[in-house]
Amino acid sequence: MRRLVRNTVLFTLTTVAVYLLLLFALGDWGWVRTARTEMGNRGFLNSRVKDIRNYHNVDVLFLGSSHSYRTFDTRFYRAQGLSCFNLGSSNQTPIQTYVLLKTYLDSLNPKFVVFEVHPDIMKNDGVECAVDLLINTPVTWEATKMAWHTGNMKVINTWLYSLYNQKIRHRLEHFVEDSVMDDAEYVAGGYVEINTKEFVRKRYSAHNLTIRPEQMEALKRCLGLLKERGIPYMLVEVQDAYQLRSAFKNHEWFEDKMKALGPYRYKILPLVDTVHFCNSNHLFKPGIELFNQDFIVDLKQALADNGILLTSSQTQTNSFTN
Amino acid sequence: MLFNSIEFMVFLPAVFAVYWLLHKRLEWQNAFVVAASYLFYGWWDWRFLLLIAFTTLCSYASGLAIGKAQSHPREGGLSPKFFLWGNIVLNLLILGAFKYYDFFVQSFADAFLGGKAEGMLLHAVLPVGISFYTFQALSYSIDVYRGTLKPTHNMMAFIAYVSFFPQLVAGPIERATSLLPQFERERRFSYPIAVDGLRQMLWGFFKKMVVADSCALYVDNIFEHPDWFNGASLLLAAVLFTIQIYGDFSGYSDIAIGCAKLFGIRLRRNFDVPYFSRDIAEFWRRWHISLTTWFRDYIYIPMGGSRVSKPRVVLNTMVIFLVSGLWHGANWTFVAWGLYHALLFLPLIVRGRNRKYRDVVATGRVLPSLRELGQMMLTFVLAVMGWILFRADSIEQALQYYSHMFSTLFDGTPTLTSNMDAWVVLVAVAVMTVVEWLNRGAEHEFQRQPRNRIVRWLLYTVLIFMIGAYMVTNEMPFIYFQF
Repeated sequence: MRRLVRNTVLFTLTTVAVYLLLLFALGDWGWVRTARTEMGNRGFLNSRVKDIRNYHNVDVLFLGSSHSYRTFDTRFYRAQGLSCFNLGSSNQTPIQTYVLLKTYLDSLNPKFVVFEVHPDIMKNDGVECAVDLLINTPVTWEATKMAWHTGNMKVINTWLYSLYNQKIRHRLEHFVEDSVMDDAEYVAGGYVEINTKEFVRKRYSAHNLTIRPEQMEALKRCLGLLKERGIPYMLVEVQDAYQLRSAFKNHEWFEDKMKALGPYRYKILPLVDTVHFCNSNHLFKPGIELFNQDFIVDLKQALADNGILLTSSQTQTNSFTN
Repeated sequence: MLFNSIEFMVFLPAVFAVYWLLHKRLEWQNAFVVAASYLFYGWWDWRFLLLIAFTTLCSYASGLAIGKAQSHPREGGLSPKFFLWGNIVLNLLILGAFKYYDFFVQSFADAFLGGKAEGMLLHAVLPVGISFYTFQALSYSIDVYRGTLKPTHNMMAFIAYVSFFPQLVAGPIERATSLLPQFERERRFSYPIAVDGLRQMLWGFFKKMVVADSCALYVDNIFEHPDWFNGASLLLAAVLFTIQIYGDFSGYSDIAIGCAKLFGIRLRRNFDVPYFSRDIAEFWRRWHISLTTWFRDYIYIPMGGSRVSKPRVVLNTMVIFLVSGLWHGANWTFVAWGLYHALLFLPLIVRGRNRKYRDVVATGRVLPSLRELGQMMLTFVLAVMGWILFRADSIEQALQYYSHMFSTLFDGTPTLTSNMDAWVVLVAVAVMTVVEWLNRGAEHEFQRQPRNRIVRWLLYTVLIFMIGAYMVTNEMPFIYFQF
């Protein structure tokens, strides 16, 4: 038995060394299926996190998935006199939102938070966003806890590779993400503009919505963090194209779950799938414009209700500098 | 609890450590095995524990009753046969209620009531591994009745025999004659056996998590919408499912057998390189050995086996294959799969050629002869065609699959999901084939290793890296859990 223990320890050390060597070497070539090793992508999280340095004490912080960063056009809200930042990222689930909040909430110090929620995101395992976050943002203690908590090999391998990439090679700080990728363009403040529309008609089978318990827990943790700091918030669901939305059999159930957590807004505007949507999940420019024009009314009301008064001078001096 | 889960990575070392700490107290050690096994099984749903406990206690009691009735026959008392059949009927009723009741009621309703069966169906959730542990419990009663085994009075050893966690949910289906005595005597830790067990587990994990699961990504996609793809894609999916089911099930068996070795327990071999078989009879001697030998010993031979008239041999063979098909699940596709193999097997058994290939292919040679290669390829193709029936959701879907596959076979090359997946499947299958070919005469498929320790360890670490770097990260349960 002693021999087994001794050899197991030795073998484990050897395995860890060989594993890391192979992961780092093959990861550079993109040959590891269970790791994301390439920085940057169309979600522009890398650019967004670097951009954050320019924003402090914003009026409104937008959080959520691509529904958030592709819908809440920060230029529009700025023109309306609100300083804001959009911290959405690809497939961002509340588990990753919590990590981002823990890391950036202090510096952004928002007066109000718009938290985008979506049924598809609430049932998501969060793996895609976790690897996006790990490879494109500095690995923090919160991110490390999140990575190990998922227990997913893709997340853990990406965490290992990111540590090597960031702490030994310092590649993250020197990496510059293109501001335009294919049809997507990063706009200062976190918004991403999509310039082409490829709406495809699809038939979705009717299905019941579900929520992962761990996502619900994480959402409550995020909201708890905001409440702790006295930051008012609003949960917002951005409408999907009719072809997708009509497949949700129990949306009222989802609405009830969200309403139980705080102010929740889900408003269906008279939009046309082929005109106002980029695809089933995302609005296109005309739809975004209509959505934001409608949403600003509710947002201003919510700000007023919470005693957040805006003046024109405030909008000019608010601290984004670019 | 799944073998390929984080929970199991914590569970196994903890159980291993406590188990060997208790090695001087056999009763305590067995009690600990039972507790660990029930924890392992209850991880899915604790309510199933009541069912397995009931099955175990019935079989234990029936063994004692059979033994007593045999050794002290009383006039007017119940016969051993009564207790045997009582236990068989009870176990089959439980199995039938959970696994087959809805299927037969629905089939009856489809045939005679226009499909209206609602209100008569149970919609019971199938308890994991019920077919495996039921057969294991039954073998005990039958062996006691036959006199090949004395009824045990050691209850804890018997519970451990039925519920031993490595093989509880998907086999190998053990015989009481082999496994029960191991729980009745002291086990000693053996370093070489433990290391061999770990090695076998490693190989099992590779086959399951890299080979089988990678194939599954492609297979699931194609079988979901076969009409979207051309014949070459469908053929590729059928071939990959053939590899997937082998990697999945033999991988599970390797993990189970290797894991048992860590506890000083020997389990029977379940797979013996079946795709290197030269005909279907050989394939069936090498595929799911613990089940086929169970059917052989407890159904086929009592029916007369092959020592009866030719028509009776044909009948016996048909019965055994149909039952074997149905054992896999309550669906006509499994029955059709059994029938398909019966039809392939019958010509061999009728002509007395079913035991022609009892040795390992190309014994003493590195490569097979051209004739052997042709025979293996033909057997493999026949297996592939059968697995389509097995994988399809219904007979209609299987027929459509065959029809679409053959009618569009030459309409282009297979559609690939991604280059990375194709590359991983190709390398993983090549590694598996080469390693298993080199180990085809060994006790298991990863037994023969380089003598040099550094080379050996390097091989293991590369294999571990392949699992970590190329596994499928979505949760992929073992296929045979559903049976």
